[in-house]
Amino acid sequence: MLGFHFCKVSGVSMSPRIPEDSYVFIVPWLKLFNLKEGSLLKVFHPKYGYIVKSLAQVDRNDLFWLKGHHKSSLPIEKLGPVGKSQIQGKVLWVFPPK
Amino acid sequence: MIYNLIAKLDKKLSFQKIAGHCDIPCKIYDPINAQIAVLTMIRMVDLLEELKAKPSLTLDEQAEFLRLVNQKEKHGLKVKEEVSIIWGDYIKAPQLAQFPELHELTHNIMLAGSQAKQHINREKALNLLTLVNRFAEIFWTTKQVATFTATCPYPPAEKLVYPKLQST
Repeated sequence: MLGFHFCKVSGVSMSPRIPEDSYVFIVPWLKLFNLKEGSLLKVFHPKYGYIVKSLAQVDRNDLFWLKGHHKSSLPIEKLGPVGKSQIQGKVLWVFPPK
Repeated sequence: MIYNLIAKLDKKLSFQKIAGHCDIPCKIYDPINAQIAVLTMIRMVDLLEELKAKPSLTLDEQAEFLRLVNQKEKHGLKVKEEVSIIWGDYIKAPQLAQFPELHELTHNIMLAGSQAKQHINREKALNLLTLVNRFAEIFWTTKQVATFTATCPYPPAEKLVYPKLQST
């Protein structure tokens, strides 16, 4: 209805902020509000599919640059920028495995 | 508690998976993880055999039994996963041309892995080790690294194929 949903995170690139196998609660319409640097976003990336990344910055063309948190994560320039339409929602809560 | 609740919902509803990784072709492959996982399985079998020899088990021993079986199971899966990754990501046409046995060997590792998981049987675990050692030997050969076989310096003291790496 409002598009809230859970997703399960695979991989370590967002750890320690989102440890592997965490569940994240996504709110799609929160992307319409002011997204800040460090906001966790679910994104449909043309090359990597559905990924969760942290917002690094918004450039003057309103493109969103993303980054991981782990040393193994792809560097920001390799991920490239994405448009707002590719952002599927903002992570509101993270539920890490015990 | 909340995590467990969501995990239960996930089982029912199958939540979408999103990747926190990007499947980087990092080129870091090493069969040693699989080899050590098999050694762990053999060690678990040895410890389970010790329990098996007792006429009855105390509560502590029953707990130990569960932990040993659990670890054997976990490491069995690890063997299969590690070998699958090397087979799926690293092995390509040139390696297959050099070692046509690779597909069959990998499949046999999967089968032997299941066998070793299903039984408390040293022979079955040793059979898995033989196959994984052969896999390691092939892996290092494709990288032009010579190998040697040595007994691992810790229990279960079984033969392992190691790469002959030299400092430059």
